[in-house]
Amino acid sequence: MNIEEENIAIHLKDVGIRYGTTVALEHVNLQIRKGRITAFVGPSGSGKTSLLKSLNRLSDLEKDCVVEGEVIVEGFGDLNAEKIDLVSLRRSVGMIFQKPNPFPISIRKNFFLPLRERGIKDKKESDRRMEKALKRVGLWDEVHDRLNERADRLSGGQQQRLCIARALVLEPDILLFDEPCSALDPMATEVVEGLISELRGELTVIIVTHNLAQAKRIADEVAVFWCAGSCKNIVEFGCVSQVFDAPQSDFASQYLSGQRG
Amino acid sequence: MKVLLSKIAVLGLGGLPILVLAWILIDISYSGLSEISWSFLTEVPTNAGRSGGISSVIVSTLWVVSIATMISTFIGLATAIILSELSAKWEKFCLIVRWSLDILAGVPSIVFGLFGNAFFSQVCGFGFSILSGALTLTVMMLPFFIRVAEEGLRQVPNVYRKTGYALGMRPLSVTFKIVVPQASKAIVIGLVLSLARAMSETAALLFTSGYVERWPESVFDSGRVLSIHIYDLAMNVPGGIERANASALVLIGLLIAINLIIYSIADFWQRKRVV
Ligand SMILES: Nc1ncnc2c1ncn2[C@@H]1O[C@H](COP(=O)(O)OP(=O)(O)O)[C@@H](O)[C@H]1O
Ligand SMILES: [Mg+2]
Repeated sequence: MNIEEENIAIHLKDVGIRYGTTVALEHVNLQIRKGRITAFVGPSGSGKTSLLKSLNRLSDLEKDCVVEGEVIVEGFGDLNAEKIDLVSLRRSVGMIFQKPNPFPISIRKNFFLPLRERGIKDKKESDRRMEKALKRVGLWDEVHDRLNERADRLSGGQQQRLCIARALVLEPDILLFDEPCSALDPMATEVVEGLISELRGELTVIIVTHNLAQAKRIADEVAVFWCAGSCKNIVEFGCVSQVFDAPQSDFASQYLSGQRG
Repeated sequence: MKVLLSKIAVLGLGGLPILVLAWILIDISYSGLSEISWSFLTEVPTNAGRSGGISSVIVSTLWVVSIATMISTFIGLATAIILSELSAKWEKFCLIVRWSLDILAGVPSIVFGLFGNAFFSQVCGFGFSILSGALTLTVMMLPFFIRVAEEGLRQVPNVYRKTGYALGMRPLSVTFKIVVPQASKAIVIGLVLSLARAMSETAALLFTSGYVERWPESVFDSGRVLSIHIYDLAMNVPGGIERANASALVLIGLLIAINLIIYSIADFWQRKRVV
């Protein structure tokens, strides 16, 4: 697939990820389009999370994790080659985790801490941005009268929406979701899924999901990860309809039809 | 039957500390309480402590303990943070530090006293002084405090560190704004327990802060702390036992007061940092 340079948000060239001597991924080549939603699907242990973490260098925090090849992120260049300002990289490439992870402090302070780091020291301004972000994720009406209560006392779905708002408040260009709904009930899943869809066009989104129907519903493009024997790679990549309706590789067709994985 | 047995176990084991404390309090109150008066608290000791009061002794105690606590809080917290947050990068080094601390924690306090005398009093030239005593106590308190604080920091789930980094927070902010506040309970407990040990320490202070019972003019003066006063009255002064008990009561009272103050400050701060 060939995309014009200015439409690429992330470009991976022959990327490999290993933990010590254990290889998680090899020879990954991928171009992620700006403003689109890309889904990563594939069996557990196929390296989806590992690849996601290499995009904002959270991989640095994993013991013995080595990322090889070129990980080119728009505005930052090759993360492996250049001296990267990790703080601004991570503000620009946000991440939502599988398990909602608000800090065990008040809702308000969950926003104030990262915002203050970003130079917004004024509490009023911080509150204003928080309100905007909370409205955006549809949480404002539910929590506006309990902003001083602990964020980790909210329901799972509310917590995850709060985490999305907290990531959005930093005004990222790219947002990575690692199975954001797998700890949520179906209703909350639907809400979060809707939210992610609404980000289309404004942000570049990558979402790891085990829910193929979900990938079909919200993604523009899909990458199918596979890990078997010596193959630890993305075996299929393309727009949703193409990948789901006419997968090229055997692995992908078997996985997508539910026969394996 | 099972329920009854478990109730007995709970009350027996849980009640043990209460009983021990009650016994000690009753024992020392029995002969000591009658000695406590306003003048006992406000006058300096005379006639080797048989008469007069213990005001200078209380002041020396507060000096020694507060200096020791302040220094060990800063050094201890910094060391605990290094041990818990940097151990991935400095694995071997941290291992050796931890190991040294665990050995130091078991060294008898008299050995610290001799070390303090040799190092702070003589090498550093502080002589017999409140400063020498406080620094010796600091060295003695640190291993325990560091290990408790470190353990508390380690208990903070890693996910919060990752979340902080993922939100573009700097490493120092992640440590001080997220990890340390969440470990504050363990840190405060470590502080309270090492402070209690410092308050009651005798052997480490005998050769460092000394036993001069005068009112200390500065931290370079020698000053007798409560525990040494108690020891001296009980062991060396015939007829001093009532006043030793009275001083012990004051010591316990001080300890309770300081603990209450620390816990309420910690509680207030805890509530403030959440909102
Ligand atoms: N911190 C780690 N240390 C060692 N191995 C890891 C670590 N994280 C992941 N792995 C290994 O890397 C491979 C890919 O894992 P992961 O990226 O979590 O896959 P996925 O998210 O697709 O389930 C797995 O074999 C896993 O065991
Ligand atoms: Mg994963």
